Amino acid sequence: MSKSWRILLALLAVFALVASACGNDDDDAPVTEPAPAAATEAPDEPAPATEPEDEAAPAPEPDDEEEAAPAPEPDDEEEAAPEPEEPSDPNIVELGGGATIDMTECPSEWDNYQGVTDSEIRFGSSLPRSGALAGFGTISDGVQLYFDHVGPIDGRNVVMVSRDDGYVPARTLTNVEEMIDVENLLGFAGILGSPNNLAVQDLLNENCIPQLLNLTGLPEWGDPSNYPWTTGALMSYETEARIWCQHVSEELGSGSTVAILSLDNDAGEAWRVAFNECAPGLGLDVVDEIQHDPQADSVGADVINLAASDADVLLVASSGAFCPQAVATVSSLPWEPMVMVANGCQRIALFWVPIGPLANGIRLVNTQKDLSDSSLADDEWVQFVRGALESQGVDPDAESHALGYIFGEILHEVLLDAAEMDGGINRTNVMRAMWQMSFDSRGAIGNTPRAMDGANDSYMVEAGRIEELVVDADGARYVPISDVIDYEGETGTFGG
Amino acid sequence: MRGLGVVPAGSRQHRQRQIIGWALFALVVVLIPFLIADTYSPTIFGNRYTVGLGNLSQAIGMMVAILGLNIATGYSGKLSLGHSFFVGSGAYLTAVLVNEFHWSYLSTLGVVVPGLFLFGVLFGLPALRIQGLYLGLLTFAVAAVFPSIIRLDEVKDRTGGSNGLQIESDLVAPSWAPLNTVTEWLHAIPGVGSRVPDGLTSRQEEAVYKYFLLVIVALVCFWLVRNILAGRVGRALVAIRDNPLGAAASGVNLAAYKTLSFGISAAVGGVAGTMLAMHSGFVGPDEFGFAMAILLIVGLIVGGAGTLHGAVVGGLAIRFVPEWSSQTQTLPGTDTALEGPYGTAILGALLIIIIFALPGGAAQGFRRIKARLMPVAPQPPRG
Repeated sequence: MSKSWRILLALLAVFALVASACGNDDDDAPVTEPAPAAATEAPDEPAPATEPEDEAAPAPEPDDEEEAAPAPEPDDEEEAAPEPEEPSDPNIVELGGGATIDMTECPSEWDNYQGVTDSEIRFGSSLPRSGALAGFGTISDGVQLYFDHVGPIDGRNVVMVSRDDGYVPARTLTNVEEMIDVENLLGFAGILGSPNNLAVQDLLNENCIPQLLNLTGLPEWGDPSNYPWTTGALMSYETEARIWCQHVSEELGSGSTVAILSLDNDAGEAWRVAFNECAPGLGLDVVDEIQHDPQADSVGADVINLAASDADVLLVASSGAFCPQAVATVSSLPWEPMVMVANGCQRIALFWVPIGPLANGIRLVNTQKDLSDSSLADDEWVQFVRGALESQGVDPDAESHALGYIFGEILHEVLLDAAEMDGGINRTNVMRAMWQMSFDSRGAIGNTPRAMDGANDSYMVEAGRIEELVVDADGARYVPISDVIDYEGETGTFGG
Repeated sequence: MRGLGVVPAGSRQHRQRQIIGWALFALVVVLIPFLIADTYSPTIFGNRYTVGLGNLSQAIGMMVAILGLNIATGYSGKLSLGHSFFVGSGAYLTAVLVNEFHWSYLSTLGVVVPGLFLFGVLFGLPALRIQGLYLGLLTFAVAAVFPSIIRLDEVKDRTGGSNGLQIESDLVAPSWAPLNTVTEWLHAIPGVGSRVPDGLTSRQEEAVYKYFLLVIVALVCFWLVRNILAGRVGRALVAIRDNPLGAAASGVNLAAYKTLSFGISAAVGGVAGTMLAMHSGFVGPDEFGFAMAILLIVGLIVGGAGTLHGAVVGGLAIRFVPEWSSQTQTLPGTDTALEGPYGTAILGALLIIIIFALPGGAAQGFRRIKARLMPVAPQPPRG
């Protein structure tokens, strides 16, 4: 072949490549057919309201049993499983506040009953089981343990399939793609990390697959108008920062100075930015900020640098071992700021027992109960989770299984609500139940509600309490120093 | 082990073997996306493993990244631990150009390649003065700082900061691409057909289309790099690596070729970044930190430094070995439930084994097997 022919062929190849890659965007997406209203694979049972799972429910006493059930009181029943007005178009599912799911936008091969078999309801998750955040990887194991303990829902066992992504979004994406292919899932629950969830959000929404209980506080998860298949599980970072601002202002007054040590990742950045936004309005002065590497060995040097600011408050917007490191370093300095830490550093056994009395006096926004809090030793929820985990051969104070129980309880309520809807448990009913959820969580501080209402109220966790850690001869415990600060229904929707 | 018999290099039989080898390679490349479009998931010793098209497409991007690293480190002998910086820069440039200027993915290469080439040349300037571990340390610092640069207040509105950036353009297969027709043909073939779905879903069609686009880009990269390295530039780089004084005495401009090698290496790394962005439709800062820099070095060593096909093996290894390792829940004969960082640990063990058993990487192993099975007698010099 002559040189000119080769050049010509090469040019043609390049032209073909560019032409093929140009202009292919969402608009070219294949037109979808209306989804089957009631697929042939629909479960035979008509979703009974009360099932053996209630008998196997965690609470030992009759009252508690009623609490575990989806709708203990008539009023609550109306809230828990509201039946939005029947839309005229059967392909439109109302989520509340004008947000809808349009089933005609789902792929033609989409099945509303995917992942719901005669014996199982299957969910997937992708979390870091290796790397710096591997400690959180056992949350999905905890969810599975919860459902193993409470037994079948609607006559079906709940199965959680999880894979390791090492907190790398590209791996989250391939994990999710492969699990969709081979695991027969209703949806995903408890994918950890903001970038990880963002990496799969479009994929899951375009394919009408539920992406529930994202384990990150990014405000973007409260956007049912644009992403009706995605919901979050944690208090929004913005809300947490707002409560910090309010507390510092109330405790120390206007003019107080604040130094911020924040994690140099999505969470740390969100906290830092949100605090900087709310501080000026309350007269707080952020005098120094340091962002630390998530892979750093220690943040001791960063804290020493911040001490030079002599700020009234040190805000540790970080997580994991960095929190006790920062607090231990402060205690070795002549600096005596009020130390506030992020909710991610809540667990006493994991983070504060290792430094003992040095942790005295730290404050945080508590949203859920900590099993290792000695003041909660008699709490019904704590006893239930401790007993259940011990009976399952898991150390309640190790790793993150206990958190899995908290998210398991939420998913349990959602599935019970979905089972009561027309058509029983399927993808759209699960999303409707999720966006319309309303129940008093036994794992929440002050048994505050976990409630949403579509685009009217798109955040599930909006209440927390400022608590201070006390470590003495009686053990380590959180002492409330504020009432429950409840923004329930006030934080609206993302961008709204 | 009996081979196919010795054939003289350049003979008709040798050429036939080469053609058959390439034809088989092409057949595998074309067939494999259809075979694993629905994610192949065999169960071995009670463990369920997956081979998905997404991971394969990412492995192709990694192959090109290792190819770029190979130019600076494998061929030129300059230890570069900062290659993830170039890959990340390519990925983010593509993401920003697609999002803000609505360019197509491939057209962004028009900026990525020259931009990264220039940056690589600048990056290579210190390499004129320092080498060995000191150069490694310098380049490693560049890799470590990349995520922080992406999060800077000055650029985070464009880069998405810590949360990463979704790219607002999907690569949807054009209507003229006969992917479903091919699937139906393959499905009808006895034996092969049982592994091929009887029709691709829209998501699978998109994945297959992306795979072919990435394969074409990768083939172009490998072809261009092979031509560069087979010519004057390649000979000069190898001469500088093996004997700088001798190379200088032979008239090779050391400074120019050293910086050129970094320039080409960075440009190819940038293309790899574009490919990874094309596949994921998302870029995140921590993906391109020093963890990736180390992985690329691991891929280079496992595959074989200084060889082109070593990059292919390396890309597959760093993508699939950790994945399969993390899917290994039990080992034969034990009840042990494996969890946590076993994937990385097994990759590390593999690296140690390969360094001892195959110091030249998998490429060396392939050469040995090939020499045993299909020996080729070198042609005596003419004249």
